[in-house]
Amino acid sequence: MARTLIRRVAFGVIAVLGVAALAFLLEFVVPGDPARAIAPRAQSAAVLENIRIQLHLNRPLVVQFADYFSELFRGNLGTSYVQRQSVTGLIMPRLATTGWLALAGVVAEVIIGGALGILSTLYARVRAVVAAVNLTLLSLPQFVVGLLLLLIFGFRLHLAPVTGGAGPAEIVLPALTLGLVGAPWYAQIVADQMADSLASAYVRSAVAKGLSDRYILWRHVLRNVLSPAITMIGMDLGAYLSGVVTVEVVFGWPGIGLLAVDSLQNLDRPVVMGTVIVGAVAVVAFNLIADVLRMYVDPRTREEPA
Amino acid sequence: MTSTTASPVPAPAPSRSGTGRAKARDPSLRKARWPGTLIAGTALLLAFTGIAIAAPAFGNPLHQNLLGGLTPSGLPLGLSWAHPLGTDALGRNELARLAFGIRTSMIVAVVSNVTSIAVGAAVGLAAGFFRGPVEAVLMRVTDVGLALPYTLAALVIAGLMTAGLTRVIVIITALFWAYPARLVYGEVLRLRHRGFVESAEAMGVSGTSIATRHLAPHMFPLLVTYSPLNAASAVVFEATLSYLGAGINPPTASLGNMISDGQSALSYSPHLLLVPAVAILLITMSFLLIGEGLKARNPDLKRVSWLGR
Amino acid sequence: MSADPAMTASPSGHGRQAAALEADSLRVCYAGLPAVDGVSLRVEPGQVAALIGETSSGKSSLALGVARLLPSSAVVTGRVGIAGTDLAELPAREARRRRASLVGYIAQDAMAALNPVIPAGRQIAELFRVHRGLRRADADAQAVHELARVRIDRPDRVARAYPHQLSGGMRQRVMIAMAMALSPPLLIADEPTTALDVSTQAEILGLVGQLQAETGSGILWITHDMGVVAELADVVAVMYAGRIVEQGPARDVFDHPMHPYTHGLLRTRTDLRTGRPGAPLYQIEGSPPALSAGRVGCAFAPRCPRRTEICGESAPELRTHDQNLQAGNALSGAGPAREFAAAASPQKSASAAGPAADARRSGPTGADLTATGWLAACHHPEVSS
Repeated sequence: MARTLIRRVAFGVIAVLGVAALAFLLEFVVPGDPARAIAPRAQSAAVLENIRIQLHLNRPLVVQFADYFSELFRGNLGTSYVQRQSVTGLIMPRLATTGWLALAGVVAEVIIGGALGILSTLYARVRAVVAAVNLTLLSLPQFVVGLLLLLIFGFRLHLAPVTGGAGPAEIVLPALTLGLVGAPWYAQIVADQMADSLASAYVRSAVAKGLSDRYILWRHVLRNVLSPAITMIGMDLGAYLSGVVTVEVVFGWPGIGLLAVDSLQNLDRPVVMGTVIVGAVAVVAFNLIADVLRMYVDPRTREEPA
Repeated sequence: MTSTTASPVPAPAPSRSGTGRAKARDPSLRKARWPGTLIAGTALLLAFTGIAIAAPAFGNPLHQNLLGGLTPSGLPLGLSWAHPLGTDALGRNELARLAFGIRTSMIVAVVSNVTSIAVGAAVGLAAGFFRGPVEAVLMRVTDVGLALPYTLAALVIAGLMTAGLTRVIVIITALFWAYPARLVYGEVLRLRHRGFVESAEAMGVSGTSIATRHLAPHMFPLLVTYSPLNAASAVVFEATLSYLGAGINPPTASLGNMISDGQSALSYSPHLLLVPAVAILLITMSFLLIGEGLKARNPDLKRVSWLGR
Repeated sequence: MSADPAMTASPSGHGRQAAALEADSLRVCYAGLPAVDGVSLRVEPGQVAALIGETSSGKSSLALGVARLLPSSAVVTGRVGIAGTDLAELPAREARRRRASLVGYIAQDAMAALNPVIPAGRQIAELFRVHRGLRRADADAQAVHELARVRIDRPDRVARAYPHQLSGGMRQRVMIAMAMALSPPLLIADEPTTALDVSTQAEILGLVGQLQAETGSGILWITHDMGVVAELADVVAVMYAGRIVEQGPARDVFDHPMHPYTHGLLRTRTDLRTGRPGAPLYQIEGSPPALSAGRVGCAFAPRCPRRTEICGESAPELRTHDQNLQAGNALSGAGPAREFAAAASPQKSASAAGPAADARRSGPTGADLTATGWLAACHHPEVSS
C-alpha cells in the first residue's frame, strides 16, 4: 500500500511539473508583449525596455525557464506583472472562493445524481424518466445550464441574484449548475453498481439471512457503491478547484477561474502560470486523496496490485 | 403439446449454449442490432447533417437588418413569419445564424473527432506496443494530458492562434487525445497477454506488423463505440470555447458565440439563449444516443464509460 | 447421520415426524419454461440427500426454489415443507424472517456470496442481531463462537478479515458457519466444494459430516461429483432436464443404477478409476436439452443408448421397477415395490434402515414419492440379474 502511494505521488509530481513546463513554454509563444500590457500608455522604447529588464524578459528563454523552476521549487510562484503582488497572495483567497463553490457543487451533484441513480434502480416506472433527464443534462454545456438557471430563477422568478458575487445567496445557482451537469455521471455509476450489487450472490445471501430490504440496501448494497463514487468525487473536486472557468464567468463568481481569464487577457504570465500549476496540483492531489479514501471504504483496494 | 417431435429416433437436441446459427435466430439479439436509441440518434444526426449542408438556404447569417430586423426601440424581434426564430441584437436573421452555427458544430464534431482519436490511438498503440522508455514517456505525457485543467489550457492555446475553425479543432485535438490514448493503451495491454500476439511474436512477425495487423483491428470496435461520446464532448467544448471568446468569433456564427451575443438580452429576448441552446442539446443528444445504441449492441464494450471528462 | 431416534419414531396418524424437507410437485419456470418440472423429494432429519445432475439440469433452481430464494421472474409452484412449514404460505415479511431459522443455504461460490466490503464475522453477526436481537458486541462474540464451531483456528482473526483475505476453504467454512448459525433443520449445499482443491474438499466434507452429527439437520447436497456423493450421501436423486429420473438409497443406486442416464454418469466415474491406460473415456453422447414447455417423450431419449419407439412418444413416470420383471414391462404394483424396498435394505448400511422402513409404510406412488424408495423414470430400466 505504501509503495503504491509513493508511486502515485511520484507520478503526480511528474504530471504537475509537466503541466507547468508545458504552460511556461506555451506562455512564451503567445503573441503579445507583457511590457506593453503593463504600461499601455508608455510611449518611449526606453521605458518598455526598462520594464523588460526588470522582469528579466530580455534574458534567453532557457535562463528564464531555469529561473522560474528554481523559484518554483522554493515555493515561490513569482510576482504579478499587473497587480504588483505575490502570485501566491493573489491566488490563495481566490482558491478559497472557488473551493466553496467546488464543495457546494460536488454536494449538489452527489445528492442529485445519487437520488436519480437510486430511484431508477429501485423503481422501474421512473427508469425511463431518469434516463431522459440524464441524457438531457449530459447534452447541455455547463454555461448553457447556468444561463438557463439564471433566466428562470434570476430573471423570471426573481428568486436568485443576477449580479456577480461570492455570498451565500450567490452560491446557489452556480452550485446547482455544477450539480445538474455532474449528476448524470453519478446517477450512472450509482445505477450500474446498484444493479450489479442487487443481482449479486451476496445480496442473495443477505436475503437468505432474513435481513430486511432496507437494511440490505443501506448496509450491503450502498456500501459497494461508495467506492467508485468516492473516486469520482475526488476527480470532480480536483477538476473544479482547478477553476470552474465557465461557471465563474457566467455567474461572475470571483474565483480562480475568473482570475485566470483576466490574467490571460492582461498577459500577466506569472499569475496564469500560478493558476495552471495550482489547478494541476489540485487535480493530482484530489485523485490521490480519493484513492486513499477508497482504501478505507473498499478493503479490496488495499492490497498491492499483483 | 404437439407431436412434431415424436419421432422414434429424435435428432440431437439443440445445445443450450447456442451456436452461431441459433444466435442469429434469437429475436432478442436481432432486436439488439438496431436498438431504439441508435435509430433515434442516427435520425437526429442525419437531420442535422442535412441542415448543415443546406445552411445557405436558410438565409444570410451576416446581413444586419438594422431597420426591419429590430423593434422601433432597437430590440431584437421575437418569432414571426418573416423571421421564424426572430432576430438578434444586430437585426440578423436568427434562423440563418442557427443553420450556420449548426454547420460549424457539425464540422467541428466530425473533424476534431477524427483527429483526436487518431492521435490518441497512435499514442496508445505505440505506448502499449513498444515497451520500455517509449511506453514510459508516452504514458507520462498522457498523464499530463489528463491532468490538464481543460478550460484554462484551452484559453492558453487559444491565445496562440487566430480565431476560427482551425483554432477550435487544434484545441480540441490537443486536449481530447489523452483519453482515447489511455483506452487504447489499456486494451493493448489486455491483448498482449492473449495468445495470438505472443504466438505472432514467437513466429518472428515484425513489431510494426503486429501493431498494425494484429492489434489495430481490435481497437476498431472500441474506438467506434467511443467516438460518438467524443464527438458529443467536442460539440459541447466548441460551444464553450466560442462562448468564452476563445473559439470562433463573430461575425461567423457558432452556437456558442450566438449564446454569448444573446446573453446581454437574457431578460427581454430569451429566445437568443433558447434557440441555440436547444440546437446544442439536440446535436449532442444525437451523438449520445448513437453512443448508447452502440454500447447496447456491443455488450463487451460496456466498460467504455463517459467518465473520462 | 446414524440412527436418529426421530427417524424411526412411529407415525402418529397424519402428522408423522416432519421431514427436514418435503417437496411435492415443485415446479420452477422462467418465462414459462420449466427448469424444474414437478419434483417431489423428501429429506429426513439427520439424512444427507445428494442431488446429482449436469450443469443446467435444474438442480440449482430446485435448491433456490426450495429456499424461496429465486428472483421474482421465476414462477415457483408446488408445495415445499421445511420441518413442516411452507414458506410460501406465510406472509412475505414473515417468510423472510423465518427463512434463516428454517433453511441454511451454502452457495457454490463463497467469494461471490460474501459481501466484499464487510468483515466475515460481521456478516455472521448480522444474523444474531436480526434474529436474536443481540447487541453488536454480543453478536460479534457469538459470530466468533460460530467460526470456532466450523473448526477455524484463530476465529477472532478470521472474523475481522474481509472475504478476499481468506482462502477458498476458509471462505466456505465461513459460509457454512453462516448457514448453520441458527441451527436450521435443513441445509442446502449448492456444489459447495466445486471451486475448491481436492484436499480442501475433503476437509469440508469431513466438517459437514461432523457438524451434521452434532445438529441432526437434514442436508440437501447438490453436486455433479460422484466422489462426493459416495463419501457423504445416504440417499441419491439424479436429475435430468428438470426432473428426477432416479432416486434411492445411495448404495443401491451406485451398485445397480436402473436409469440409463445414471448408468452413464456412474460409468464416466468408474472409467476414471479403473480404466486401463489408453482406453477411451466413456462419455454420454450429446448435451442436455434446452428448456422447453411442451416436451413429448423422455427428455433423455436423444442421448439414450436404450431408446425405442415408446421413448419418443410418452414420458416415463417415476416409479418403482421390480427387478424381477422384464424391461419395458414398466408398470409394477405396489406390492412388489414394497417387497423390493424391504429386500434391498439388508445389504445397505444401518443408516439406511430408517428410510427403507419409512418406504414400506408410505408406498412410493403418486404424490407421496420420497427419496426413501428406489425409483426410476425410464421405460427400459436396467435390471440386474
